[in-house]
Amino acid sequence: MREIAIHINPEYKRRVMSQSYVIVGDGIAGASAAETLREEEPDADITIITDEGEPLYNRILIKEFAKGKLPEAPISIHEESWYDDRDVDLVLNTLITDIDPEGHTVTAHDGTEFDYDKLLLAIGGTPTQLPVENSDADGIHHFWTFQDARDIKDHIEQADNSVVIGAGLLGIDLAAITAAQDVEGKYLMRGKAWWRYALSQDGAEIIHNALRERNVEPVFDSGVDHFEVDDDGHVTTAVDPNDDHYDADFVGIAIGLNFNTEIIDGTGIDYDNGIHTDEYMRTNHEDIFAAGDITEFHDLILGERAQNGAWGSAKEQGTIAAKNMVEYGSEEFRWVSSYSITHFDFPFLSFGHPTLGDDHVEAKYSDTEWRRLAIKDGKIVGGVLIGDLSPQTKYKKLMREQVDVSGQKEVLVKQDFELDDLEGAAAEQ
Amino acid sequence: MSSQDGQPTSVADVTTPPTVVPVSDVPSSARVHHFDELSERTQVALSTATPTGRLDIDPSTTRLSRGDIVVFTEYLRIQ
Repeated sequence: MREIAIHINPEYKRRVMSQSYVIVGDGIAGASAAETLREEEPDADITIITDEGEPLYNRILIKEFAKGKLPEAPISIHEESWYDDRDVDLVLNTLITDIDPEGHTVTAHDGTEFDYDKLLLAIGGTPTQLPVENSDADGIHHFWTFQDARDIKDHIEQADNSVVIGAGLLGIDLAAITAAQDVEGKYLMRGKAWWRYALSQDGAEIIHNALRERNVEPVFDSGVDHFEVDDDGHVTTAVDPNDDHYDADFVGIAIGLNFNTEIIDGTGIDYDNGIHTDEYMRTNHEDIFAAGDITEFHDLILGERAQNGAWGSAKEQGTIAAKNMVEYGSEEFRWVSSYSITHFDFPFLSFGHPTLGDDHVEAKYSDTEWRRLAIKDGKIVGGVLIGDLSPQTKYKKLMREQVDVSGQKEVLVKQDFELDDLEGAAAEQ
Repeated sequence: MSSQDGQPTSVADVTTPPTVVPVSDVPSSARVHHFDELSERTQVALSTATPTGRLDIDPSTTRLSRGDIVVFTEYLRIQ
């Protein structure tokens, strides 16, 4: 018997047959993609699959819940009815374990298969485990999901003393939680400063002082060699590489994220630390897209591959991915991200890629006001503002428009900097 | 300030400029935003709010509604 191949023009198919979209991950990237897909394609089949047991919540507010300052209800963003109202199938408590790009299916842990025409991977990451003795003891917490926040809140409210490990943007959330709950704490850092890849000692010292005022003591050139536990297996002590012992019945660890790339292995989808995408959020497979902090996207401003876990960036990536899933090439992801810390009585905002660059300029204006700009090839690629956020629009504009500021570093950090202060071509932007 | 149906009143619905006041308690029914969810323009307005709490934002361009709470260096209610 001869087989007859039937080829359907993809554009015809797109117009007359309902497309099937599967989104793996119900964080802000996945949910914003679903919302955009429904707006763009009223008749499409849309399914969101998540391994979490609850619909989208506000991940950047869960720290406030753990501090005991916010009730649980405002953290939720979508009720299940939100998905019903938009005819989006939400599948909770389901871990995708396999992807078949050729067969256009994904398979869940229980063997359920989901067919798709276009797939979005918004699968994020999971906290990196500290590879030391007893790091899985009771009383040791990682902080990523709402359930983590609930567990941390329950525990910290009963704790007497604490240790936090991880001198970055997630670690400081844990330190702020211990402070807000009035639990004396030590904040163990491997280097001599908090977030040493983005801040100088001057900038970091503002943060250190704010922590000390809240009864959290930074400990430098430290870290953890191992934990000691009691007979019940509950952590009692953190021992650092200098053999200094720190009592702690609560330990918080935030040393980074492992991005969930294990299901990509063997699929032919390009990835490294994250999934590679172009500026349209498409992978090297034409029907598979990625969004959120799992992506290593082609950053049009930076001119190279980049990764970013900020809320606004993930939301925008979800939206852009959805538009390009419907019509590839319709809109680029071109974005200057920002991330703020709201734990102290002075504001803190980082933008772009403050840890990158081949040059930098910084200035300190007072005990609580400081700025640093990261520069690459004469152009701003990121920065950190402490104390005064009002210049952010100007710096982001210079970064977004890739203005050459070579030779004008000191002008950039004048306390009352205005774009007109720049000379020549830069000022005309 | 709320409308008659109990929903927050859009900032755009009212002609008087929005202001912010610090709050310490947040009711379960409140709509809460983190500073990072806001537009760049609204972030700058919040970070440069006058001592009277008045915000320099165009009510028609912000997603904030009166009664909303913003988590910034303190909790601020829009009114």
